Amino acid sequence: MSWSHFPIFAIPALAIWISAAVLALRGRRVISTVLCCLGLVIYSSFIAGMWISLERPPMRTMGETRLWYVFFLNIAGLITYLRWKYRWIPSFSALLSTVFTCVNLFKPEIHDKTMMPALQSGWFVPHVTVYMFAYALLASAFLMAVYLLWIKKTPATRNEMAMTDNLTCIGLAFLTFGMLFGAFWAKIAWGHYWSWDPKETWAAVTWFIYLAYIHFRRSSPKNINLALVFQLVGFAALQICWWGINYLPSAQGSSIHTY
Amino acid sequence: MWQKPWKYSEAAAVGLGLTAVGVILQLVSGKIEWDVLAFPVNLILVAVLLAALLLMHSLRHRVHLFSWLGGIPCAVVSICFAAGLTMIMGLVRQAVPYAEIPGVLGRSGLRQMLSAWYFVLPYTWMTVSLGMATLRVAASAWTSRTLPFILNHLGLFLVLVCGVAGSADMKRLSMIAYEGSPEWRAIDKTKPSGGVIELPIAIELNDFIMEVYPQTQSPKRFASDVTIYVKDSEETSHTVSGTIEVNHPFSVKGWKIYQTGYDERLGNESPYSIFELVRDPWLPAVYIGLVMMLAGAVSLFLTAPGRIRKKEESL
Repeated sequence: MSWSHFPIFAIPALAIWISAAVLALRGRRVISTVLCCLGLVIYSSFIAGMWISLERPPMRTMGETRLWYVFFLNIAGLITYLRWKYRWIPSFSALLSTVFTCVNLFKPEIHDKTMMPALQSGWFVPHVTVYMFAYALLASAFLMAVYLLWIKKTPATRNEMAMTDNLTCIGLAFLTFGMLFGAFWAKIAWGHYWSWDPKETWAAVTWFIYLAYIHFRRSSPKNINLALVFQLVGFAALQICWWGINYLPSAQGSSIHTY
Repeated sequence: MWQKPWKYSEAAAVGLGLTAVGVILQLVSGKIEWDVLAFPVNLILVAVLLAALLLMHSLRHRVHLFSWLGGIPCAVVSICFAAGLTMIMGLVRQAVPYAEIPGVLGRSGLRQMLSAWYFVLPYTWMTVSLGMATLRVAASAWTSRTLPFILNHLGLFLVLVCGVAGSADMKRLSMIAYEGSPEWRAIDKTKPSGGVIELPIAIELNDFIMEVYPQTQSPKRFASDVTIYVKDSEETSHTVSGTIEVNHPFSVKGWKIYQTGYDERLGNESPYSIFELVRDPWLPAVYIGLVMMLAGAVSLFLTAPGRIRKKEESL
């Protein structure tokens, strides 16, 4: 299995997810859920195949992390859909999956088996997967914020805010797991648990903003718009942390988080 | 503003005030020299901080400032200040703490934010707020949500306080060991002059091992087979043997020894191996904090869905 096989898996998975999204919008919940799962099976088969043929976890490059992002996005989307029954959730997962899959389809990466010794650790898989899961959850919270701020004309309901809060809480929990696993790993690999590497600096910024959000929601549950602004800023910081630092002049050549 | 109870606008004013004081201190006295925190100063300061927190906690009903410090508005705004300042740190290329940077940029501290007063003061404020919140919840009636709260807040408090206090006691040394000759000298990487330090342990490199990926010739694994001589007292010593490799540091006598480099032109034939020796006496305290945060995050995850708002407001 290699990136050349990716379209064979990605295009059917996307087609299935888009049909699931359309069916969900029409209220066909059961068939939509089944299709979501089917898409996940196809997508994860490709990830598993890559893992086996690369002889290492496919988590090193940006393209590889995008695979996991799409995977977790659909899992998080499915859980949210089943839990809160919003018809538009599968559309959102399908849209973001299409965007990230297209990036991988049109910007293919070189097939590369190498993994430098620093990455060969038991912490590698948990560190990356919990972060990708957190990113997917926080993306859902961000979309919810965009919907409530600009698309929906009536004020946000209690339920809608409870959903945003829960997505953020779980997202923050997983962000914490990712950060702490990273700290334990960094101690073993680099000699210190926190070095203020640009990636770590932006991870701290992101973590603080979501932390501020959940605290603010607790003290001022009525001030919804300001709370949602935290979501926008937090999501922007998250993007800088994930891929933006590759383009940030202050981080060029100074990050040891470059693979 | 300044009418009790204080809320967000007072917190914003305090934050701006602290940052302004920090800027003035920075311009007047220059960056913070963290070396002065070395043992026992760090231990004394931590004791003073804890005593001050307990004192403020006991006076919280009489002094409004103290009860406000442990409240959510103070937490939110101090976190925002920490986030904003950390963002600036992420946007300006950072230099090592001991570097002497000339000109206005050097004086401003923007390139050494971790040693800048206007960075450290708001972070300290956040830490104090965190401590006061922990004490407030620990002293009130315990519910099912108290323990997760304590784990999250006290965990982060421990990590911040012990991490900063311990940074002055942390040693990071670099050693180049040649095959067949024991080396006991190392260079302090955290000092500008890089003074040579003689250690109570000596490392003898027996063999440097390297494997590469056949296609790209990039390193797959590199490791050092070593014998370590440990001085127990003036007369007695013992030896230990082992392999030091990336992601597998070797612990001996309070030091952790990391594989960091080798002669990259010679690869497997490298006659020497470069090690980093790290000593961090405050690490156990930081790890207790990290594990508490881990447990706190688990409870945050478990209790997140389907919570009832009314219950939360009592916390």
